[in-house]
Amino acid sequence: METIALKGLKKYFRVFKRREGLIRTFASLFKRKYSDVKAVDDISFTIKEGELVGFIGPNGAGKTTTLKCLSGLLYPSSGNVDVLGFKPFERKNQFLKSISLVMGQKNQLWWDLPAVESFRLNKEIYELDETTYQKNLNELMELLEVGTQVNQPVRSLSLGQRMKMELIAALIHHPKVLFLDEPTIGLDIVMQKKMRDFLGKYNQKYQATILLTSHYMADVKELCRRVIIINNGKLIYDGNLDKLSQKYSHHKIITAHFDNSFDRQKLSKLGEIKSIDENKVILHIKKVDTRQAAVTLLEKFKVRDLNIEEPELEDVISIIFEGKSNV
Amino acid sequence: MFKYFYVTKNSLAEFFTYRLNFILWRVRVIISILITYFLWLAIYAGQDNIFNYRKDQMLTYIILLAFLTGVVLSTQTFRIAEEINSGNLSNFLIRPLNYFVYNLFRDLADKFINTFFAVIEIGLIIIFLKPHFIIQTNLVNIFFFILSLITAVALYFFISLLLSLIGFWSREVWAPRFIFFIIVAFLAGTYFPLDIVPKSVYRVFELLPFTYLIFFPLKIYLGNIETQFLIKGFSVSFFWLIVLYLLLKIVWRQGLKVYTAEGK
Repeated sequence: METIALKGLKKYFRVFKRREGLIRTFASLFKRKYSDVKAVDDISFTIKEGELVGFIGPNGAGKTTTLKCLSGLLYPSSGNVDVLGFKPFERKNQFLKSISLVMGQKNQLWWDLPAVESFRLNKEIYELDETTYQKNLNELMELLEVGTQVNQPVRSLSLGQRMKMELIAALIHHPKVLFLDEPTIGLDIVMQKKMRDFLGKYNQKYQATILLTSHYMADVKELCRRVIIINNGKLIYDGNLDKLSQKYSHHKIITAHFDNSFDRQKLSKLGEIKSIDENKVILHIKKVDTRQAAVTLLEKFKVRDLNIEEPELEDVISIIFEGKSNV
Repeated sequence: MFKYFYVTKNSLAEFFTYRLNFILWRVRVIISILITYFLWLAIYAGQDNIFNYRKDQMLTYIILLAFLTGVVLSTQTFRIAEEINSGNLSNFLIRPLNYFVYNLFRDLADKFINTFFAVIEIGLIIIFLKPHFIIQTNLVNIFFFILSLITAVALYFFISLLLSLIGFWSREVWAPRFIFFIIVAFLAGTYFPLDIVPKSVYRVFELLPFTYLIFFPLKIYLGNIETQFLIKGFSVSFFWLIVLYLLLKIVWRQGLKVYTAEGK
């Protein structure tokens, strides 16, 4: 059963064009020029129950807009949006009780009050009974390793602690579908790791469907088997994370450690030399030539160690973002 | 409905973190009322009847303004425009709650605390300035006074909401609100009872919603319960309530369609 089904989603924004110059600015008070920005342009995908999908793309690609359409905040310009059998924009209570949206840069907590007051309010809003509320709260606090900070005014918490509180507030009603927009933004490495562990556990424990955007590839690599990549409002890739580099990169990386000096000229004939660090050389070699290059290296050069790898995910992604097909 | 009481509770708690802000706000309200009070006191020097108002009626009117400002004109709805423009509205839309009811209960905290202090201040004014303050004891008057207060609260709430929803289309929401403050100050009767103006002008006032925010309830309190006055007053109020409610629904629906949930 598909939890999320998106078909031909389009969201265009009308943007007021500012003109330069005093007279023109003044004139624009009376006559404004608008243009359409295609934030999301014909995107379709489906997500099954319990899937944890990474949703990636460069800044301004349309990720957040898509999430907002899925969670019912934005009215789609056209297309069909179906989440848990609901049309999100109708914002039926039954739908809202089953989802949650967490935005790394926006908070729903009452700034001046202890976080627990915001949780209590959500308990009332989501109409949870006392036992369910206590049970959910304790579980979330344990998973996120939160203690007495819940009784401290939110404004006095660190960013990381606040993000944990935001998550508790967003998950207190155990949503079936969770949209996360940059949940790890601004967090240090340790906190990022904890947040990832938490999301992984939450996904497994409650079979929650999670769609997550992040700029940190580590988030995606560790959590998601499937990724959806968009750029300029269009869907570019939807599939297994592992197959991404096979599809988009046409080279492999060979790292070779030499015993002593080597002939740079000869080496550069094998492939592109990316870096030389004393006796360590990193080469980018076309996939089809990799085998031959490795054989040549071992036979013709004095190699102490040799390592063949797929390119880093970051590199593959930036290739895709920049629209280039070779490196 | 009861779930929203937690909003009131949290809003009240929030108040106490901004005590100075609140105290200064009260000072502002009291000073503006004292100015009007002393102005009228000076006008009445040596005579007891001006514009068909006895001195004690006029001073009671002015003093009770503090109470009505607390009950009717206290609101937090201006935060809506800010929430729309900052994108924080999303945090409300994503939860199963009625944003209008949420705002009503947020206002309740504001009204409660302002009214509470207004009552204390009125007590102090009566003790220190010793005006001849009229205490209404007629139950019919009190009944209609309370009814008109509830109507006034609803009217002001609807108008304020509408003004804040401008935020969907423009970032410049303070200019309209400022004009609105001035209109209310003048046309609702916070400087003088509205019926002291020429009859022809008052006929127009009677058709506007602002008249029913302050003047109408106070007039009832001071003793005017002529059937015709009440029927006309409540019919016009209810007419505006229905119009504003329908308008709100339309504007809200249209607003959500253009809402861009910015800043995220």
